[in-house]
Amino acid sequence: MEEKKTSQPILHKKSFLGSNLVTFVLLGLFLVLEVGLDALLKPTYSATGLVAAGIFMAVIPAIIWIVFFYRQDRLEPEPKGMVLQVFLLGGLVAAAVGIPLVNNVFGVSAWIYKTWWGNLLGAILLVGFTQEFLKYATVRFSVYPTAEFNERIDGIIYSTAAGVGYATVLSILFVTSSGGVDLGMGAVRVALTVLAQASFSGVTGYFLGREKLEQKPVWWTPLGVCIAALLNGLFYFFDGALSAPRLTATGSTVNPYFGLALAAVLAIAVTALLSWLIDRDYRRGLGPQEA
Amino acid sequence: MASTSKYTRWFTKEAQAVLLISAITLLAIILGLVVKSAALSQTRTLSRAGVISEAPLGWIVRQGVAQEPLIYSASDPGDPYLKYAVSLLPAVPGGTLGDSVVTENLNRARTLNAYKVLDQTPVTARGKDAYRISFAYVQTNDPTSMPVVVRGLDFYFLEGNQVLLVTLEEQAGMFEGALPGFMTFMESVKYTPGGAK
Repeated sequence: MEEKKTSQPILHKKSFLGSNLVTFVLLGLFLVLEVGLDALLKPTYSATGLVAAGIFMAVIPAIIWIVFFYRQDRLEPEPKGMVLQVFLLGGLVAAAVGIPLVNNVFGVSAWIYKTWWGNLLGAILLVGFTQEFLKYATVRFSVYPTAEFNERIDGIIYSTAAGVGYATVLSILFVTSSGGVDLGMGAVRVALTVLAQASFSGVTGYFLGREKLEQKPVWWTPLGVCIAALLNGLFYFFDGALSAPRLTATGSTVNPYFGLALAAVLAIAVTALLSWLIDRDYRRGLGPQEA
Repeated sequence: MASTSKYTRWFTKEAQAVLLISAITLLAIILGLVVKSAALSQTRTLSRAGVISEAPLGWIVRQGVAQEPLIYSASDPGDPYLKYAVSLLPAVPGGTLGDSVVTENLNRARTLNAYKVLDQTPVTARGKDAYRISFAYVQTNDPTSMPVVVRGLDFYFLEGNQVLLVTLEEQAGMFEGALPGFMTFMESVKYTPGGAK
């Protein structure tokens, strides 16, 4: 068993892009298909059809991204059942606590777009911290104390699973509340939201993994949650404020592309950083440890 | 001794981290709610026909056309029923402020579904004598949805030969929550007779 561990790092000589090419191709195909079908058919949905479309549009990117992050764990892949449980738990926490808290208790959508500073601060302090704390708690109080959590990368794997679960519920809500309008652009936003939620909680996961397996100071993981909340808030700000409709003398105009592009750059940069951190750990031979 | 070791075991560095994260999150939420309060108290100045007021920032403003008594109204874009309005009505010649209230209520009873005055009280507001009228009616504007009970509050002020009317409307279930914001708006209204409409 020990010998197997030391021989594994050869696997990591495969390039990041090469080993995940299938993921990117599948995601690209899904988006092209969604945008193309929406543009060609311009479908109208019944209430049930919209829920079905919402689940389909949210679950496919979720599966693609969860496979993407799962494949990063190349030394001792985590039990699929446990990753699935954390994914489901992330979704349940979003539906039961996160979304009601942000939407109903904080009433974010009713005031956050009034001023740019309110948007930025509200996004970080209320949306970012609430979501990242809940995703952190999902992992911290489920899989973290178990023996399965025995690699630094496990923090990233389980946290991204919680993030994807959380984002899946957000995406279903987004599609069903859109009334079926412009689902082509919606598909892009859903894929991006899943990646963002996964990668930001992956940041917390990185800190969590090192906390468990190394002697780290008390402020270590709190710092990770704060960074994740800051990134989450910035994503919300870019995606929301910069894409919000603006009233003009001739009506309202919406240009979602600039904000969406900035949000995409942020999410992809964080994902690339996580992949780099994982690869660096493998190069240093930081494999599984007895928990 | 046993309880001490149990306590020590529980209060590990990991447990301290959990507490620290919870405290930071709580603090962030409290600060966020302060930001929310500050954002909601942001106002913009509305000025027309001598009527100046401070309406919430980001609300949709509609100006009345020449024939109607409405000077302007401000609606919350996130709540289709929440609206503040300021109107100038001609005072009943030789009559009291109470006569103008009755006239306006009769007009509304003709145009609004199931319009009903719930309460009528003489009060002092904006440092002046006024009438405070609480009312309700049923809104059936959208044929695809159920009718909605709208509650409202009027403040009538006699201003020379005109009556200044400041009105709040909101869905019945959310009416109480809208009151503090409206009272701030109503107190901010200033009227100088003779302004052009």
